[in-house]
Amino acid sequence: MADLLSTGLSGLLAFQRALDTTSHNIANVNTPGYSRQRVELGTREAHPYGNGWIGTGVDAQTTRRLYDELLAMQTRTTSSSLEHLDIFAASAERLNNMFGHSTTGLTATLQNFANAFQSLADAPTSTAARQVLLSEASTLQQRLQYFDERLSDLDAEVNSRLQGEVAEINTLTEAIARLNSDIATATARSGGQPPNDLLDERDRLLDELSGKISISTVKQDDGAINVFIAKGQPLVLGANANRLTTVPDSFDPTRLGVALDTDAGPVDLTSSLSGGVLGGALAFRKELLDPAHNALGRIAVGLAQLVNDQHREGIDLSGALGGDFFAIGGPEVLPRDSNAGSGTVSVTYGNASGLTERDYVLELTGSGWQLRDSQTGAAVTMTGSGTAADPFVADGLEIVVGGAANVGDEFLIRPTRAAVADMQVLISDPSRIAAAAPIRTEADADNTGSASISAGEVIDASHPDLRDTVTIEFLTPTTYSINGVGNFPYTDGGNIEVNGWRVQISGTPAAGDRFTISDNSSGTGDNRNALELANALTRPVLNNGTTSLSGAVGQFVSGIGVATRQAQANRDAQSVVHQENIAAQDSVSGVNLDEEAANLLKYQQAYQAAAQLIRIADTLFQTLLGATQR
Amino acid sequence: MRISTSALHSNALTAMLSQQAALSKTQNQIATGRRVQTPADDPVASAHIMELERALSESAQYASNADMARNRLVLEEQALADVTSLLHRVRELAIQGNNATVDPASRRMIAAEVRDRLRELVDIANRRDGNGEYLFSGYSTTTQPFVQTGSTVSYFGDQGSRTLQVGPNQRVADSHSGYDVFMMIREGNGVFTTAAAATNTGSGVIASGSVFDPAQWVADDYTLRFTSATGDYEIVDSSATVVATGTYTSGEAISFRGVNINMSGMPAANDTFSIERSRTEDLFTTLGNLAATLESSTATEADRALFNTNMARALAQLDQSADRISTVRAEVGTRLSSLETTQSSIEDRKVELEQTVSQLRDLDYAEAITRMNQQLVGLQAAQLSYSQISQLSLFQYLK
Repeated sequence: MADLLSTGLSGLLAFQRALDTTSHNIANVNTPGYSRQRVELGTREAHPYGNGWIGTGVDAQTTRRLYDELLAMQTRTTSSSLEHLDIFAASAERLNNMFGHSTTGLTATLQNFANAFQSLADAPTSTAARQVLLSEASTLQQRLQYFDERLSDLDAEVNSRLQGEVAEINTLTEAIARLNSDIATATARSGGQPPNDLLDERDRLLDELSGKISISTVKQDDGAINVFIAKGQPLVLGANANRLTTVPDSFDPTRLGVALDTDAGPVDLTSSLSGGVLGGALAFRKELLDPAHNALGRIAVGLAQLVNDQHREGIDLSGALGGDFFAIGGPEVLPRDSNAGSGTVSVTYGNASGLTERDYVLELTGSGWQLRDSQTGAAVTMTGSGTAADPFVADGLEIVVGGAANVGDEFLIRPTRAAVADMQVLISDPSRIAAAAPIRTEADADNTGSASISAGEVIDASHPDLRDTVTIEFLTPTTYSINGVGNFPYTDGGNIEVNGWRVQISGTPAAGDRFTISDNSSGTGDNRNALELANALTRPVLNNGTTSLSGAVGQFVSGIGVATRQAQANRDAQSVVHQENIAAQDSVSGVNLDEEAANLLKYQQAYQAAAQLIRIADTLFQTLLGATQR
Repeated sequence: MRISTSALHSNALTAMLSQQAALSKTQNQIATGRRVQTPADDPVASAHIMELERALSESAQYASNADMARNRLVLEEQALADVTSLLHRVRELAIQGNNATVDPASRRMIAAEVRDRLRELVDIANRRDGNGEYLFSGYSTTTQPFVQTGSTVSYFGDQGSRTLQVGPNQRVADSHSGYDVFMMIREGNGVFTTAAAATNTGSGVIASGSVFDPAQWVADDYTLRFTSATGDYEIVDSSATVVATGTYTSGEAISFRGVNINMSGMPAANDTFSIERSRTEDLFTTLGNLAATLESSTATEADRALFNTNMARALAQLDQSADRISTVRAEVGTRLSSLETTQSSIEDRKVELEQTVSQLRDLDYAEAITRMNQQLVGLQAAQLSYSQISQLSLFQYLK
């Protein structure tokens, strides 16, 4: 009977524990990171009697949380990837929306600029047409600068995102380290029973951390979890958390990277970090933002070179040779902060067609200066010797080195990044637009032959005698002299190049026929240079002369479109994988209210039955007492 | 598989949110009428669209360039038509004045009208277009091309001719220089020109002559000198070498080196006539010379001979000028008609480009609206099923 009582009591206690746990589950149905718990029931040790083993009731052996470490780890991995792709795609979408709108886009603005040259060619003396050209030029410049500023904004956003995420990661790792120690204490205190809710809390924090950065975890014997990032750098070791910090880039202090604080000082992890918001933001900066910024700059450099070169070959309304039309920023050279020598590097643009969208690092090695791609590290071949007279030439850049650099000193060269920010339209007076060609050609009125002379073109605008009057006189129908000197054979339609210009004479000249090439100062109605300017804008000038400006703009915008679409597709695919993992984990750990309701009924009924046992034990006891009372 | 209660809710919610996002995108497409909203929607199509829009904008510019060229060519054509009718009138006057019955006073009146016409011609040649640019001054469109000082008209323009871009590889000149139109008119018959010396005393009149064998003709400046009053002559070239001699009979042609020189009357001994290779003479000089000839004296036989020679020369020169003007007008006409072809092909291309852009970018409304209906039905079904499923709970039955 004592057995009956104690057996009934064991049931009461066990089912009460089970009902408590069920109610805990129900109460936490919506708690993030909560894993459902279950009381593990087990029979008590049976007692041997002569006629066999008689059971002694039930024990609530432990309260276990239903949690699958493997699934959790998979979910963390997919979460890191998803957050990485998500921030990448979201940032790419912003770029995409910025450049995508056709009416405000670059292509339209560039075409309007070319059209303005055509309109100027239609009416070179019209101040209105000249004014329109200047305003289109400044619209183009502003448009480029608007995009450039937005790209810089995104760059600054990456900096502040890094700072924010690093601060949050530090909060998380501190909390995880504290929980590590709390869990060890609690486990010891309860004689090895798991502190389920603390474990849940730590797992939730690890989940959250994995959304910020890709982590790997190792469980220790005392229940603590060590967290590692990048290439095995420890973020949490037992009860100790290492702090992440943001550090200025070693070349460009305005740009932040991420480092791990160690006793030996910060260790820069920027290039090895991956996954999570942090990895996604860094990848966006490296893979999309920087190339886009460089591409935009390269378009501006190509534009400025084309327009300036052609504009210098013309003359304005007052007859003066045209100067530069646009000013742009030059290549940036950033020395590494650890450079020990006093070397200097100056870089200027060579031929824009050789420019790329890459950044470079110039390093003084034991065997001389070497140039490499800053991202891939691939060597880039340079020609020349690096002196002002014979600069290093590579990829459209001319590099002059000076001072005394030490071996190992490095310089980052960003060819086109700053080009747009410093862009200016140098011409403000409409009459200064060089729409006319500097020379004109004339046939003498007394010519008796039927030869004619072409309008002529400038091949070297800097020739000092460009605009001097030159007379070509035919000595015989097959030979001519230039300014009364020489005796040159005549070829029908052949090039005659003197003083930086080129003309062709074709047809049949007669002896004594004369042609004059002279200054075109009064040619205010001449539109030849304006036409050349309009045409120059369609010339393939980039990518080693394979891509026109408008082509480059098209490639630039559609490149961003492709990258965005790819990022979206990656994100969507990863999202599906992540959702599946979450569902799998949830199917193990999630609370189902119907299930809990059933458990409630189950345990309630068992509890009632156990209570009946107590009453029966009592009845039995009373029966026995009644039997012996008389 | 076990489903947790919160997953039941969040799964339903996720599904509804993604349906809403798709619906919102469709709605946005319908509202803007565009399938491709940003490059990421269809990178290939959007790169194509950008290029097509650039081409559209470019061809609009070509159309406006063509309009501009047309306007100027039409103005030039009007000016040239005026020059043609002016030349007709001058030719009438010349013929009238050339009539032997006209007395010197009437001739002077005719000469006065020729001089009026000359001034009118200068005005036409100095015409400007709507922008105030001179039509006939070459590149120097802000420089007045023709300036009359006394009886000479000088050209201050240049020989340039502006071209406008009317297609990717097509340029059309929007003008002729004044030099081209008025200045470089070949003298005489285009090969050589004849004149009588003012000091001649005979009645010999020289006509403009003609070439019968171009192969024999050697371009040079020759002098025809009569060595006797009976028509013996010699022809010397510019280096005073005698190239031909003979005897002229009144009314017969003198032939040498592949050309015929028609003469009438009888020159006196030592009368000379020049036979020079053609250079150019401007139209203003031609008119000026005509007026001067009409004003010249016809008192003596020699005067009359010179008068006749000069009148013949002036008439020939007027014909050369009219030829030159019609050649230029024909060129203008060709340019105008080629512009017309260009303009219509620009129009065709524009329509074609717009169609392509529309196909690439614009929305197929039928498809979009069908899609929207499907999405609406889907979302409604999701909402309805969620509201029903979420009501199911065992707790409802625990009383």
